[in-house]
Amino acid sequence: MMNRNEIRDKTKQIIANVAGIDIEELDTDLKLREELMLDSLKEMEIVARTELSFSIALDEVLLIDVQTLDEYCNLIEKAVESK
Amino acid sequence: MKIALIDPMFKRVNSNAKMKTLLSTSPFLYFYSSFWSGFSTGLLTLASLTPQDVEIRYIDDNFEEINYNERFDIVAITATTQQATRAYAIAQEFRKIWGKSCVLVAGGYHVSYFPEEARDYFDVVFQGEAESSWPAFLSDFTNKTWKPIYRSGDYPPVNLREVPVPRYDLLKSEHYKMLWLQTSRGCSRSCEFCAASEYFGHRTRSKSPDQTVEEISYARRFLKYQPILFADDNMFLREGHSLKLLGELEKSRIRYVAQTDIGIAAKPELLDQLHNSGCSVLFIGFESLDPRNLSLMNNSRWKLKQLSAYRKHIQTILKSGIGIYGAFILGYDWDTGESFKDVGDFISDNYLAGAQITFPTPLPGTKLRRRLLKEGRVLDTPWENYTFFDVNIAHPTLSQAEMEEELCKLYIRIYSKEYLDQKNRYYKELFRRTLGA
Repeated sequence: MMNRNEIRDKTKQIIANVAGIDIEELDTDLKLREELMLDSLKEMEIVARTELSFSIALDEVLLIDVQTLDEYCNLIEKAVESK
Repeated sequence: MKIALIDPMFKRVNSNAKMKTLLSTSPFLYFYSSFWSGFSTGLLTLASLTPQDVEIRYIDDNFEEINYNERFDIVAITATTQQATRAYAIAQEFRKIWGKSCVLVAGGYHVSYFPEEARDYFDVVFQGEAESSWPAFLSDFTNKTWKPIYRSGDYPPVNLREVPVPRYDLLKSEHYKMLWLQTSRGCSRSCEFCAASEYFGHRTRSKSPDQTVEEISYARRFLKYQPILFADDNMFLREGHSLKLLGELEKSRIRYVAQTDIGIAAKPELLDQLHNSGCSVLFIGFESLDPRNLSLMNNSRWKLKQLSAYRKHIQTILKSGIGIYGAFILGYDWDTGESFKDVGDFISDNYLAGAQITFPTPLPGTKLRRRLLKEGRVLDTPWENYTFFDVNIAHPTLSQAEMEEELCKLYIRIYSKEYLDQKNRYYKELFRRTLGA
């Protein structure tokens, strides 16, 4: 079982890979849509990669309220813990 | 010496009120609008070609107020056709305050075709690419021997392999949503509506792969998060060069959007390498679904020959894990109101990630303008109307109001919550399949 930090690091790495930037550039309060400019296509790629990496199923509706990297990490933590 | 490099305000829409409202209010058009916000790489390149002891200010009229009281030795303004009127107004303001003590310089696409129009406002006009003529002008300026016109044809042809990295450090990065880069110029397809291939030529000229990687690395120091878009009009026409470039891009671990044509689907090795090198979306010009329009648009009939394979080629590209952004021109000669609906169906049936639908625009220098002028169909509209969302031509059967109405309806349809959900479901499964394989 992964601990919280491992989940967060892995989630951040997925977002960094999809956005095409270094993981070191990702601040936790970074706004995914307005600052990182993730469009719906990239969002779906992140969701697909996250689901495959953690063997979870995500409800895309939950993503509507996710604004920042930190909020996305929290969402994934919960999903992994409740698996 | 002190130089101002000015990018005039760019209006996305001028007179089409419906489209103006939609673009400014629809939450689903946020990314679409961001795509087309950018800076002038041309001006940043001129800055790189300017001696280091010269003080340079890059002023983006879209985001900052121009201080006309600031004294510059040279004010250089670039302009697309749509920006021309604003460029002339800016020049007039500087002239009012500084008279002839400030040399006003115009360059870019529009004034290259209408140098005499620009000469009413500017002391110096650059025609064509300026990378070779700009250093000559600066030298002439220092010697007080500058000329009213600098034609690219009078100087050595621009060798992109010798063009320095643009001065991205001059940008106020917070203004820009996208990082536009250019690796090549020119396109051999020769479509009648295309201004870029007339301006840059029909032979592709490219920067070296190493140059491009160096440019990305430098630009990333100033624009850290912005998604990368390659501005090349048709980036992968030369397969050998493209494979080398993509091999280098793969090492950079970037993600990017590139523009090409549907012919890419028939090049499996290139498609694989595109995916491996981080291409997330290809921007592809489908232009029209009507064979008669495609014949008019591209007299070599290359586009027409692709039409029957559009759906198959789209599937091939999507299966490689790359999304497609489609470009369509509606309001062409053979279009009817039904054509707008057909394009909407095509976009949703094929799960295009997004689409740019524009009106035929008779840009200076294009074959389209020459044909429509001959047919007496170019409307007497001001340059600021040349936005691609405004009507500037008389259509054989559709009225201006009908064209505007149909365009707006189509954008509402393909940038709706309903289509977004449909698309998201499709792409999530597509990514799961391609990534899980």
